Amino acid sequence: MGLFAELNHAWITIDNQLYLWDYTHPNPELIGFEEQPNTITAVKLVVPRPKVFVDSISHLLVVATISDIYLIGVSCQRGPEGVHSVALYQTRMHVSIKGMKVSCIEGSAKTGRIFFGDGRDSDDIYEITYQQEEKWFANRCAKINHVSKPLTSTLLSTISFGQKIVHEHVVQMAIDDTRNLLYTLSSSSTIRVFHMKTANTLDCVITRPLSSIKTMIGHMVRSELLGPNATLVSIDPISATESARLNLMATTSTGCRIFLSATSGTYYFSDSSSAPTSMQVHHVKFPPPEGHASSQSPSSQLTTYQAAPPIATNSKMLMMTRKANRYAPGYFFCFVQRTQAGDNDLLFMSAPDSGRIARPQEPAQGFRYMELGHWLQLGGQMEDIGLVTPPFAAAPSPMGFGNELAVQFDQPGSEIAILTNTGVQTIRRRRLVDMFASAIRYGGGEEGLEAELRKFVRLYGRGETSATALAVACGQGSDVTPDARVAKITDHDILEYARKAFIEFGGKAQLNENSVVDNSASAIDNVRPSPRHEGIALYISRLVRSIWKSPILKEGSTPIGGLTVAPAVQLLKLQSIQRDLTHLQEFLDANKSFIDGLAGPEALGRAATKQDEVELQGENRALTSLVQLIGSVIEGISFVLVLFDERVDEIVLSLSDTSRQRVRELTFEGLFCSPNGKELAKELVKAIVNRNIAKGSNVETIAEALRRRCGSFCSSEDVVIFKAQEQLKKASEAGANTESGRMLLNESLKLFEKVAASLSMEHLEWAVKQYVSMAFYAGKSISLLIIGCFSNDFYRSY
Amino acid sequence: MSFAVPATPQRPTPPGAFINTPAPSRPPVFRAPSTTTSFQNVGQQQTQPSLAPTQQVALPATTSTAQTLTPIERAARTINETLTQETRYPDLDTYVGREHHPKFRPSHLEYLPFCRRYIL
Repeated sequence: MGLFAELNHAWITIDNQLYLWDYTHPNPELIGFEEQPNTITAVKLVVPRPKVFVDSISHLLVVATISDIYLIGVSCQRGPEGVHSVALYQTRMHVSIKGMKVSCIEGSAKTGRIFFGDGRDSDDIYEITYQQEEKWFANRCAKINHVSKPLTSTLLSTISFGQKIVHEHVVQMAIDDTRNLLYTLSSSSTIRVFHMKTANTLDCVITRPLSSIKTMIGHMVRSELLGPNATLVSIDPISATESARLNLMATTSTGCRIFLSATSGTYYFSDSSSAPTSMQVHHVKFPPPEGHASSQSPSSQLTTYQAAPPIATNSKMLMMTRKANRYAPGYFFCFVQRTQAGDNDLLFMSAPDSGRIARPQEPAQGFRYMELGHWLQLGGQMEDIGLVTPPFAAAPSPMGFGNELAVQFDQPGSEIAILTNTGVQTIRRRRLVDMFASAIRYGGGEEGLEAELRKFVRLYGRGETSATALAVACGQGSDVTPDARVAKITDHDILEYARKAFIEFGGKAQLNENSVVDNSASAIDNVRPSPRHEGIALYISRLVRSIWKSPILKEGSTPIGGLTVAPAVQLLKLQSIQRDLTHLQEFLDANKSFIDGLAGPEALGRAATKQDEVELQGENRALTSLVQLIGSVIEGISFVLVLFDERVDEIVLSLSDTSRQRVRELTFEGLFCSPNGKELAKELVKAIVNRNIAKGSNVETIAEALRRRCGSFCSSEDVVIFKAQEQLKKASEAGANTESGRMLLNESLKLFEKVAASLSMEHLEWAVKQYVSMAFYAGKSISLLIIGCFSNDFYRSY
Repeated sequence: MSFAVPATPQRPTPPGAFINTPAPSRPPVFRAPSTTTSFQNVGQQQTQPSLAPTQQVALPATTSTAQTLTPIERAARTINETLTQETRYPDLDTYVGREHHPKFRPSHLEYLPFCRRYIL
């Protein structure tokens, strides 16, 4: 039994048959693989090498039997809510493995290489090679043993001399694609590190037996948890994007987490992809201290963990750990067998307390690894565990990687599926906003709530508390409903208390008097805005972080060489950001009278001293700037949405080369904040309207829509100018000497005269040229010219 | 109008040093009457007090930049600073190895790091 969590599917084998089903579906359909006669020993889902199969085959199912290994193609249909359905395809690729009992298989998602180990009497690592077509010296599918041993050692290992020989074999394999490494854990708790230097090689570079790991730990700390009986039960790679030094976390049967670092030994010319030559224990994290773990929530049997005794290196809380898993950025799942029968596992789960890691209580002590943990009764024996959501990463490099608070509103919350012999359960990571909303819900009355809030401020700081309260007040808190849906919290009492918390715990602006005296700058520049301002800035930045530095569009080409222009950020994502910012705008507008700095001039009357007054002015300047930015972002997103409603490729092609290059480089930040971005956007508006005029569409509708949705990119004057241009175009089509043509010409002239002050030289020149070409003089086109010249910069420059 | 600034406690003078002479002739920083400073002109450019040429040379460049920013530019700078600050979250290497015994916070129900979504 096992899980393909990324596809929402579980699997089971019955002798020679394999069945898959969607475990999220109430009445799932069974998908079977029954075409071979031998007993199945292992199953693994891997990512194939690109271009070997058709693009619709996104995964390969590797099915190991007692006789052969089969590769089966998997295609899945995906929708916005996940995988809909899965289909299996025969690839006619299989390789004989007679005499072996494969128990573990692993695939590299980056290279598509597939490895397996013999789970019976050898620690050899094999690779399945596969290619699209048969070649002279290579079958479509074959196997290679990467661990070739001299014959003598093989012979010696088989001669028993009357002793019972326990053969070492591979029990777990794990691949780190960021460092091109394959790690194996053997049945005697030895860790081996293999380096994939080239696309075909696999070299064993480090062998680290458990005894040497224990010796290294002995130099650092002593604990009875690392005595002779402790074995390694799991290994989990730590990617180079998460940590520059740490490579691997190994978990012992006593629940200790051993962090190992590896190095190539050379300081120069080494990067994350060079082969390591040495592996050391970097750190050991012992199990949580023994304490009373008693409080239970009625619905889910969740048991909280209470820290108590001071000596924690000998805690027996995680004794008899059967299996453990670590997922970035440090989610730890430890399955503890509490009875010898092992039929009911206890799960200890912990996760980093990101808000506290980033904000040490005592700065002199530096950053500390703070965690939150609790227990869960599984109600069965764990069979498999898998990450449902994409792997967590808040940044592409170790610095900033683990910042869970930054991506609370930008990435889906991590979910982990656990398969037991009684069913599948999904565990969801709770965000700080969810905890805050929960703290309000279970806070216990007004006094209890206030104490809870003060605790929150003490732990996470006033700025973070403001940002969290604001997010909850704007409807970002979520909870799991009894029918297992994740729903946004809309409970009035919770939103109202979050609003009060944002207003009352937002702190106040402060004037830095030292700066005032030192550089005699304007006093207002030396005002440090309140934590409330910091909270609003944090919330806005967390909403827009994924688009802020991103270009607006990306160009591509069609197979026949034509231009394609696509949005660089999904339009659904833009709409979601816009929705959240609109909520924020409405919230700030509704509560401005209660917020210092947004309350208006009457708030100045409350200032007792001149210093208060200056601080209030500084706060006002900072807050009104943010409020203006919110409006600008909402409008900017509207503009982008309007732009992609049109044929963007035609619009981009109609621009001059310089403008096209500028549009290509334009980021969302540039569009929202820089005058150049606004100018460029106006140019795009002009191109949209001109395209509609050329097409003969109704310009008024599009121009009016633009004005309504993003007024600063298309003013009401612009709408009139576009309308006048359209009339003029129609007149030229109808013929200048026809009655309708003359009417259209007169109409266009009237419209031009109405907005003469806003006419650019370009517009003016174009209009006059059109009138002259249609012999529409009658003194009127001249009058337009005169009005235009008198009204705009052209006149002023002479 | 000037306001009372609480006096900073005097630091003990180290040997060889001498206390700066107070400068009573320094003009008060907040000279503008409160009637002229209102919320309407807060967002506009601040007029700098006239300074002697020598003082102008000594002014840091950031001061003039701060004063000439438009509200949107100021907000954009705040967002950029906040985003930069968010990327400075410490890496795992920095905080993993400080202590061997774990720092678990006593978690109450509202602070549980995970919740169970459904059981099938």
